[in-house]
Amino acid sequence: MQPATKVVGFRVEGAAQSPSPGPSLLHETTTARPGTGSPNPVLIPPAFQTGPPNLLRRSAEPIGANSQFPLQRTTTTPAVMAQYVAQPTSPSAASRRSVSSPDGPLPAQQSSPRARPSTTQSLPPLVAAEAQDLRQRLATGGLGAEASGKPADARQRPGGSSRGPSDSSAASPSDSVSAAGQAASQLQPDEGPAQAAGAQLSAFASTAAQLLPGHSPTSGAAADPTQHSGKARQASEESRGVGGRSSGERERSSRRGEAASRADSSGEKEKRHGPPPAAPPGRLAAGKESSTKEARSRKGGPPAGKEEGEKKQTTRAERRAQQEEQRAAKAAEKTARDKAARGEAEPAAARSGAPSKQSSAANLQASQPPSRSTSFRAAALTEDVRKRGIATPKKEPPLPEPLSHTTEMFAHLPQFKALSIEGVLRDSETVSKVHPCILRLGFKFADGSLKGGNTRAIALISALRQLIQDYTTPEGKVMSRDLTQQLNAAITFLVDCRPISVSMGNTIKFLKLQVGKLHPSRPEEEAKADLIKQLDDYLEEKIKFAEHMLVTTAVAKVGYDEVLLTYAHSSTIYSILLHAHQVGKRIRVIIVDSRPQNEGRQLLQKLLRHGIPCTYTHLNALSYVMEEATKVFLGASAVHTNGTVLSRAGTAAVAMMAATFNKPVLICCETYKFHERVQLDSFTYNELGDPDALLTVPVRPSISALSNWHQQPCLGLLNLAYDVMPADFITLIITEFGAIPSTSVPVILREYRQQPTLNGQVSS
Amino acid sequence: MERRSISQFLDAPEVRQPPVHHHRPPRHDASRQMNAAANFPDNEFMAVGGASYPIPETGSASEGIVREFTDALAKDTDIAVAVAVIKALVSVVRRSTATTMMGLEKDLKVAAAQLERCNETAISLKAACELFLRYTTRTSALETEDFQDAKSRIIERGNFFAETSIRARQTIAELGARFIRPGALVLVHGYSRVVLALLRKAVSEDKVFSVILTEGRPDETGRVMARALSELKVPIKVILDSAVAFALEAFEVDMVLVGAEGVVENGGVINKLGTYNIAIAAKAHNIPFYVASESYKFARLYPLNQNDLPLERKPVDFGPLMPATVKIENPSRDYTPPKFISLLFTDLGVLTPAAVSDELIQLYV
Repeated sequence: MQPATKVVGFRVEGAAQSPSPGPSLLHETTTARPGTGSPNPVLIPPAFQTGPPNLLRRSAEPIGANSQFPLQRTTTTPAVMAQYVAQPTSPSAASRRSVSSPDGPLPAQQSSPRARPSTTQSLPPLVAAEAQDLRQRLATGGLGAEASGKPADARQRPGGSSRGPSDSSAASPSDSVSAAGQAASQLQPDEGPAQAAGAQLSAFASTAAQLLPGHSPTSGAAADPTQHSGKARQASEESRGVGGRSSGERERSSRRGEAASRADSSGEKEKRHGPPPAAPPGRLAAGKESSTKEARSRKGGPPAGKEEGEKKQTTRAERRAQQEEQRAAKAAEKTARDKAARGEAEPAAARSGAPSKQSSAANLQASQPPSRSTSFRAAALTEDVRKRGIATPKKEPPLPEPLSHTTEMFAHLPQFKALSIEGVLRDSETVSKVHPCILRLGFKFADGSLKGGNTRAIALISALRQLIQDYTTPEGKVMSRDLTQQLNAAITFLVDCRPISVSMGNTIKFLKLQVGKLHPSRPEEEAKADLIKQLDDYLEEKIKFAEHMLVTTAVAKVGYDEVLLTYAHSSTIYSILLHAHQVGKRIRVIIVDSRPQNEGRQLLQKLLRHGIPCTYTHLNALSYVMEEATKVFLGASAVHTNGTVLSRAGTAAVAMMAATFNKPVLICCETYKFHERVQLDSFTYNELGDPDALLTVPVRPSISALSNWHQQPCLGLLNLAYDVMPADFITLIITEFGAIPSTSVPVILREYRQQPTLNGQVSS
Repeated sequence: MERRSISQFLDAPEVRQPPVHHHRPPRHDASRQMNAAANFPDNEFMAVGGASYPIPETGSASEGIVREFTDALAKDTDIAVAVAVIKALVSVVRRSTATTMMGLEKDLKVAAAQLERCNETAISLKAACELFLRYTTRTSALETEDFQDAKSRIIERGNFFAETSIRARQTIAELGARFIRPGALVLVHGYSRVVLALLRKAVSEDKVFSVILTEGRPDETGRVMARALSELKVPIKVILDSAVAFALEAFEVDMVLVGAEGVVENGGVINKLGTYNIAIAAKAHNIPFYVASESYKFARLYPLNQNDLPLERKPVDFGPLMPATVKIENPSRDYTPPKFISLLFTDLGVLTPAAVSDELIQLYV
């Protein structure tokens, strides 16, 4: 890790040291406004003393320690890679579930515990040298990432819409897949160095394939099974009727493999193997493929013409992919036969349920007598792996594609990935571009130590304030433009850490508006002071003062001797309850909570400390406790134009239950969290939390039944962060401007969005 | 008709040229006679404006305001409470000896508080006070240097407010009468002068329709209404309050029309007891439920449910045969949530409940 000694745009020396997460920012934000949702350790019954899952700690486990690396999965690497080479712009599961190796930069491909290392092991020195050379080129090519083990930078992609594959060692099973995928996904049509690197990589792959012994003699025969397997996969997918991303990708890759075999009738493989005997099935598959292609273009996939154009360029990689696939199939088959010989029955469910292409390929392959050299080679491979003490394939049940672990319904959302600090810090580009305080903030977002709409917005403001303070305009640049770029870099990083909330989004929008308004002729110091003042005003008026006003309005709605029900933890609700208690309303509070975050306990702690009588229960008992409640107070993450409210998952259920029981539902939300979007359901926009957070049983961690869920191909864990409640359930929304019905959100947006602060327009 | 806003006064340009004629809806002679209630002598207000008005030397500005208010109500039984309030408050401004805007506002607030104390639970009284304060004080036009100038402007605006309020019923009648189709059967609950004006307007347009009246216990609003309507030669049927749901279906009622004591922030209404029953029954039968209400009844109030209303109880006599141990409860009004209301006929136009809250937000927020 080289420390960035001089960072352009900031007056920062030795930036690499500072990003280590310290308590200062959290301290700032919590002391700036007590009562925000940041966690603080307090006395509470021991049963409640389980903190949030520490992603960072989990993610910092060395990958090698995870002995679940399946042969099956990792052998798909070149196929996935080829897919990327052919379609560099389509972000896919593999690129999003990226993985870093925290313990130092890995030697590019060899150190990954997977099946292919054995192939690289057995590579002649020539290829190894080439690999080494490639690594160097990648490293020096301005990418800031090595071929594997290093995250590619999402910001390099135009548009930047795809979530950057920065580190996530939690997603380890897809390790090598995504590593290669990342490297390949660097291949952008308009990016010189990246393209060169990608081309190098594919060249390397094909070279390696050609040099592998025992491959070419059988590949002619093996060309068939590939196509068969492609067809079989398609058929199985069609029969299952899934239209998700993963199946789409599988279709794509199979089509490409098939297309490559057709297009290359005069290619070198053709020369080697003679005419492909599998032409009729290939045509059949092609017929099917055209329909899937149409379907995909309807779904908004890349235009077919582009693919055609790229096909020529990528045929080598495709061929390589095909070969790789065949090899994988054989290896898998070998494993299966090994197991059968030893009488170790594989779990039937794992085999039949896995939609993995390898298993289907293996099944098909099993019906054909493998050539001697193939089996010999596979045996050698297995032996080699066993010797090196890495995951022995026989113990590995076949794992599904990375995305099959997510729920199909939510495949379009940015998938969860844990962030590793080491990985980010090793990414010298991120470190150089992003201000240390933003890095620190991002880590806190990622590990969940800063959460809650207000808390995150306040923390963001203080970080942005710091960023602006440290900013100096580089020579020959305009401040408003350059600062906007800096902000964009910072925000992209924050989004990588965790998708930003509406509260943060509106804050950022506000700041960008102000930056854009800066006149070029203004002195820098003055402009900076002005921006900082704007931010401070925003914080004071839109967040702090707004909450004060809101609390006043809300407390006026609380009668004497009322029983108020609330869900999870909202800093605003806490202020309301506390204030209502302090003015002597004699309230009782029912806190409804739910796993996995159990945020309600924080609220419980705080309220108990003030002597407010409380009842604590989980969502399951909601219908029972709802009867006692007189009013329901709920916080919100965002309020949409159509009156729907985005809030912590489970809130909608509470609101619905309250509406069923005819209890008034009061949403408390400052107007800076209002959003112009119209949202009807919880699917279109949401955030996926860490699926592993669902594993732990709070009191008895030992009894978790899901501990090896990664090996269950049919199992996806869904940890949704938010849900959306319909406007019908909402009696009123309390804002700093008073109480409004949910139908009047557009009025607020219309009347007040023009005016960023209460005291009028910005001075510029 | 031109779409107007309750917050029309808040803009400086409109205020500078008193837009009386601009906003005056067309008057019909027939309705003028009918609407004696609203017929204040216009010149009374015309004389008021201007800094040259003599300011009384003695006493505080709000002195005698309550008497003035009650006198106004007594003088004309058909006068709307809001109009009397506005009249009283304008005279407070006139009499005020304050020399700053703050002082004037304080005087107005004291006077408004006194008025509100006349009847703690009267929603329209409270709403009118609040609206007047809002109309007169919240404006950029008041940022003039000269206090007397600003004061005269406030008086001007108060007068304008009073005038539009006076004409409100007529406007509503014109807007709402369109909704009565020929041959319609209209169910009316409670005694409301706006509803009466609306029905009169429909009659004057030679529409043939009939009315079902509820009895309206215990204050016999049905009888009062029936007497007024019988003069118009409208066929009337009176039913028991408890027969509403039966009548909606059995007689095939086409629409329900009620007045309002107050319109709250979410577009719901507070009205005579029984309105909520009828609204629910009408919703269940998919019969449109209309509310006729002047915009000065828009109150800064957001009841969450029936318990959240300022409680108003009236005595009720169930006769000597009722056992003495029985507790008798008679709230005088109820709250109808917006989801049961189809439309509100107001002098600002025909509004959905959501539009009412739009207006109120623009005014207050």
